[in-house]
Amino acid sequence: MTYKKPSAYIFTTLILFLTCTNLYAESVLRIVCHGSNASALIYVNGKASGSCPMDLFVPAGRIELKAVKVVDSDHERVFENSFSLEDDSAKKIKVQLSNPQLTAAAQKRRTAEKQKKEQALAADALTRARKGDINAMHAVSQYYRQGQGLEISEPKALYWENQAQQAQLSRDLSRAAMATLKAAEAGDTKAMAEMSLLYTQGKGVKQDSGQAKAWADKKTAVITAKNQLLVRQLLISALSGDIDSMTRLSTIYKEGATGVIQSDEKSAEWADKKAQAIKVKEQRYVRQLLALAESGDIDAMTRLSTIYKEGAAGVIQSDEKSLEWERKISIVSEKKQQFERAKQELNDISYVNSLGAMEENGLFDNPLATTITLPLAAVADLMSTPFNLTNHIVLQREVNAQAADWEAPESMIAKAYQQKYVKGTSALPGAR
Amino acid sequence: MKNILRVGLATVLVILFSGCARHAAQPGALPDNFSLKSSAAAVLVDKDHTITVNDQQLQALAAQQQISSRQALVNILLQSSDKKLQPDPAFNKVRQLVSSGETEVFYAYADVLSRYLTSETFACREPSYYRYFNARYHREDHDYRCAGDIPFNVVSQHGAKVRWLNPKRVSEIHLLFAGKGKGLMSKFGHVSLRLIVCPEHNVDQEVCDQNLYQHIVLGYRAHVDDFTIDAMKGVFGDYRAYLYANEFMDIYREYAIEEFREVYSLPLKLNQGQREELLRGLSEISWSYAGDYKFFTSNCSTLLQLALRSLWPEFSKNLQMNTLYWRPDNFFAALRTSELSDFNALEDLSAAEKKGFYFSSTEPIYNKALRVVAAAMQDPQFKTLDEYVNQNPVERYENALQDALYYQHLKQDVYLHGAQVLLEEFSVLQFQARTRSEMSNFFDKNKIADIERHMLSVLGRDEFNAFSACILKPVKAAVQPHKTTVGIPERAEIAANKESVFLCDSKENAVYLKKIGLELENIDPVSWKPIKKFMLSAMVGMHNVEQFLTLAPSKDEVVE
Repeated sequence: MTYKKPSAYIFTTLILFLTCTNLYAESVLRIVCHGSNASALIYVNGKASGSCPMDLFVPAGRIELKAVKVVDSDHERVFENSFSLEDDSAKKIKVQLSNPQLTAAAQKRRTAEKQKKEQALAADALTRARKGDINAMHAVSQYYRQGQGLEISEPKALYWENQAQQAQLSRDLSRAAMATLKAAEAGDTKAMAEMSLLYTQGKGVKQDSGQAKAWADKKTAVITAKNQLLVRQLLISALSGDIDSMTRLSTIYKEGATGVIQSDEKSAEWADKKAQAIKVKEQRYVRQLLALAESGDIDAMTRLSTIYKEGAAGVIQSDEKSLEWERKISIVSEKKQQFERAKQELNDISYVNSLGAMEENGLFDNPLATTITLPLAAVADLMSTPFNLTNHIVLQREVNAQAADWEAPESMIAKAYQQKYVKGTSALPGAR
Repeated sequence: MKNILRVGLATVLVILFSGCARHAAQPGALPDNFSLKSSAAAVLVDKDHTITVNDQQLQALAAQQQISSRQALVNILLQSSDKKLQPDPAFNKVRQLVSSGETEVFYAYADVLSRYLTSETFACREPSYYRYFNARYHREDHDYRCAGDIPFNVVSQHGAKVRWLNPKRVSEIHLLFAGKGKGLMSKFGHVSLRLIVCPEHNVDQEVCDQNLYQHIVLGYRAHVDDFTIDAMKGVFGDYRAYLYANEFMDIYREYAIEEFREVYSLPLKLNQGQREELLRGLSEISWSYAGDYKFFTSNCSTLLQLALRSLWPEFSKNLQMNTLYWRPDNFFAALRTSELSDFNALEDLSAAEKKGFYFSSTEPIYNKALRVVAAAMQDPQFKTLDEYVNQNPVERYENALQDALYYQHLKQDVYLHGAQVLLEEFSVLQFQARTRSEMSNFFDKNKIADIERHMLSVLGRDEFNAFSACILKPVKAAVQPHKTTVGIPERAEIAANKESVFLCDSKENAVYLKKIGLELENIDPVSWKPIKKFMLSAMVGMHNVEQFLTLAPSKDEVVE
């Protein structure tokens, strides 16, 4: 065995010595403290035993070791350890003091101070709670439940909690009543009814039958005025032909309303007027459709066909007329298709001639180029149904004089045209 | 250019062949038993140039030869060596005026003289020859009075129709002068005569002047006479001239609208008797005359002057008219300053336009209409009439409707509406003119006789009747006026030739015409294509006119 350090040699020797000699039946305890832990006071089983570091003999058994080093008046650093020692044993304990902590006395003092503060808070809260402070009531309830400043008491905690809820409800009702009052004062008839109820029940306001009646009366007056205004407005629009207004008037008079006396007679009168107006409107609608259809509007024709098929819009049901419009639809559709074809066909018509070039094509005032006209039907493979040939012939006859008639009405050409076709009977109906 | 070459070639050929006589219809040889001695006794002209016919001898000769008295007379005259019974220069002048000049002159003289001597209707049927023979043979005008209406075969857009004119209803005759045109052939204008025809039972001059739709224009015009049935066809395509009768409004359309030419109508100073004589003479010419048309020597101006010299003694005596003006504008200018016309009528053109003596070109009016319409549109697709007309007519109408603001204006503004309708009508007229021009080319190119043969072979009877009535007959009527064998026809002759009326524009007959159109297309699809396109453009344009007319605002709603 080789010992590298002399102290280890000595400690080993001492242990051997003590063991071999067997002078005392005690154990050896070596307590070491390094650095800031040095100088700590050592208590073994509650008995001050000196300051650290130190070696001491202690009886075998349970050992309560405590090392204390005072930091200031209220704080100390402490190390505690508990262990058992057998007879004739040796133990080394390394003291590692805690961070500074309150001393027991300081702790006691401080606890007393806290309790005093809590009691003051609770007393203040109790005072305020008794005065109706809802937050204080909640706090008192809490203090009682936790024994904070007050002696712990669940019944008292529940009492104050209940008090707080009731106070909150009361406050909410009052606020709601104020909002309702504001709306009622602004003319809201529902708010007026609400106010009347609140005053009757005393909810949110102080119960007041007088106020309750006043608000109920005011509500009736306002609704009466509104209804009467509505009726006047409906009358104006109904008289101008508005069918919805007639319907509403009929309903209002049938059911009656605040400020409007129920009248079956007036209700029937407006129902009749409504029926007549609908009839007129339908007739106008049908007339408009007819005009549009006559001008070639396929949508109008389709509607007319449906109307006649169903007998709708005031017309007498007629399958015959419905079919007639269907036939016209097919004709007009064909016409539109033909015009579309014509449009394609005529995409380029400018390549052959321009104005004034006519003459060059006819030699010496060629009479053929002056007078011959190809019958329209000779190109009927391009266009067949769309043309009203009779109208074309009439237009053709009149067309020569139109320029003069438009810009030089005093010219002889214009006068001759006027005499023959306008004052006479040959002009196209409705033309010019 | 092609036309110019054709004209040039024709003129050269006419000059080259000018010496060539036409022997188209020579009379047959004299019968073997013809006796010169007896024939000489049948027709005698004494020293005073008085001609007498021995009817008994004539009838005996006719019986002997088993021919008609008139034919016997013709034979006698043909064999006569008496200079007084042979044509003289004056006869040739009259003949040039009223005949086709196709028969040999000696035969023509004998033929006409025989009618003069034997026909009771000769005086009124052939008044020019009648005047000539009366003058030559010193015959008195014993109760010569031609009463009754005078026929003119008036060619219009719908074919030819004979109009019987009561000469009392012709209150005035004007020289109608169409000013310079844009074409080569019309750079010196065109002259013709205008008959101021009064309405029935009203000869008030103002009313007559206003009765334009019944006025008739008589003018010499020419055409390459390619499709007559007989042997008149020229070897190299001579241009033939006829005196055409047209409706005034057709002529107005042609000149003032389609060609934008000024038209002047100069009243001629004629009394009632002179007018009647002139009318009858013009009728005779219109039914009988067919001559060569040469641009510089035998044209509308010279032929008309020759006719007036023959039919209007005061004209022939007038010194200013001694010159034969080949340029129509020069003739018009000379006549205007002569005593033969009412010079004052054209002094103030504005007043003349109101009175019907002047018809201005419609070009400024259509251009104004174009400006009015373009200004009202949001985005007009045209700047000139040319551009307007050459737009696709379907799109043109659609564009107008799609321009909401324009559409609204159109329904409210009478003036704008009028302008819009006017432009569409102009487009229709232009395309009708283009169609006619292309039709003319089509028939020229494919020859009417060939077309007729083809159609006869491919069409059914009803279809061919429709073709004949609606196309063939109007084409022939336009190319060559209806002609009788001699002089002015009588009602009975015209009535006998009258064909049943075929309604070419009726829906019932459309099916035939559709087939005809397709067959014409088969003949020459390339030439037919522009005709179809132009016809279609005109039809769509007409449809546009109809549609625009339905938008007509009420004149009462116009805010001044």
